[in-house]
Amino acid sequence: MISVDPASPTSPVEQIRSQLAAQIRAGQLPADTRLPPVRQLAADLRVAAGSVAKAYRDLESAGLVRTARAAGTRVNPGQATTRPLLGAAEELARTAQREGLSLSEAQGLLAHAWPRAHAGGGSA
Amino acid sequence: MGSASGLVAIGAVALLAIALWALLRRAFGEPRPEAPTGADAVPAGAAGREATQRAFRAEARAALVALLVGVAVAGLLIAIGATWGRGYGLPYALAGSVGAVAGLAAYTLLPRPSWHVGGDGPVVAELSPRGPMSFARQWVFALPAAAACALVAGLLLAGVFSATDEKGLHRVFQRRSLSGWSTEGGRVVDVQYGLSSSGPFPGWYYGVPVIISTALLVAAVYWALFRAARAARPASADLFAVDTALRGLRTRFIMAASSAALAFQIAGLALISGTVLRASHLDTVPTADPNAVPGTVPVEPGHTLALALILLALVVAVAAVVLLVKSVAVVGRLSAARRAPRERLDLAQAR
Repeated sequence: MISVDPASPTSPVEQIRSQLAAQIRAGQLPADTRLPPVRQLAADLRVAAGSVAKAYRDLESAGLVRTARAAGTRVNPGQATTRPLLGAAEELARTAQREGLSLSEAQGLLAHAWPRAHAGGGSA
Repeated sequence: MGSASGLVAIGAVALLAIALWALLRRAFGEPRPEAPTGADAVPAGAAGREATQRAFRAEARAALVALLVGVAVAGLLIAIGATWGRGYGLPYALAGSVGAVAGLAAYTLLPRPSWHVGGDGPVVAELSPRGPMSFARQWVFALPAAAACALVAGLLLAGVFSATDEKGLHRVFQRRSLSGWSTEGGRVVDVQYGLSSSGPFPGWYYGVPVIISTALLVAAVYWALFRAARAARPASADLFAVDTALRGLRTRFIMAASSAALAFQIAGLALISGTVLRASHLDTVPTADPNAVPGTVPVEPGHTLALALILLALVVAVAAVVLLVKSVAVVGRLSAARRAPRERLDLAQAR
């Protein structure tokens, strides 16, 4: 499933791109899974076909999907995140919810920790 | 010999009829458990209920209009065939497929209400591609496709074996026949053979237009299925089940109605061909008795094959009627399903 909120300040293209990327990274969309055709997804989400096409192009540029005329758009292999990282993300989400944080607050915390982890040579 | 071959033909066709019946039951039987019927899929909320009723009402109307248009166009062609003598029955041969194409065009082009249930909240979509064959079993598509291929192959074969009539039209079957004999001293002598023609036979005169109309029918079916599959889903996932049920019924209607038309066309052509071939494979036996009526002897295997073709035509005609009834039943189910969610919801709310 994927959703687009017309009231969101984030553009539909970015909403589609980020959700698809997250699902590919999380392994919810396994390798070689065929994504819906551009027109189908655009009609279902009530957005312009160009928005979905641009989101697909961005995903293709990022190496997450590949597009072929006959085979459609498919998820590239080797894009799913490793199991420990997925587990850590789920643990972060659970802990943040337990402590009453919202998604954006949890994302803020992650963004705050990011440069420190980078400076520390990748160790958390 | 003749009766034995007749029994073999009847047995073969009976087996074919049983196989066809089993295939039809499998293809157009009860829907899969995972594909809920409209009555089972109760949408949440008054807006969803309204949208569901609107959608089922529009679908029932479109299916009914399609059936009426299809039958009217087929009837018109049959009427043309009855009055246009120079057409040599060509409109009859085209009635099924042309009627189905017209009906499918009407069905596809009739506007449907969009799944707008109010609110500007997030819009949800699934990530699985939908295609023309997503909402019914594979048999529903494989069986008519195989029948269409068999029809085209049969017409090509008939075209190759057809001959021209006195106007140069490829619409007769030519054969060698006994044209006369003499008797001398109580014995048959000087047997003469000639060429005679029987028709109407589905040669190129009928075959080419029917092949074209069959191709058009296949294209119309694909287009209708494609449009049914690719139409936008409801914005809310709550309505996905009822939307799937609606698309399932849509697919079943398209396939049942078009298969019925195809089956009527095949049955008609097979019956005509079988009758002509049967008459063509009976040879007159010369007799020395000038007062006796000459008997006939069947020429095998053509006679048995012709008999099998006639029986097959009857079986396919029955299948066509069954499929037509199925398509009418889908209209009934659409009409019933548009009321069912309200009743079920009212009951649920009363509890």
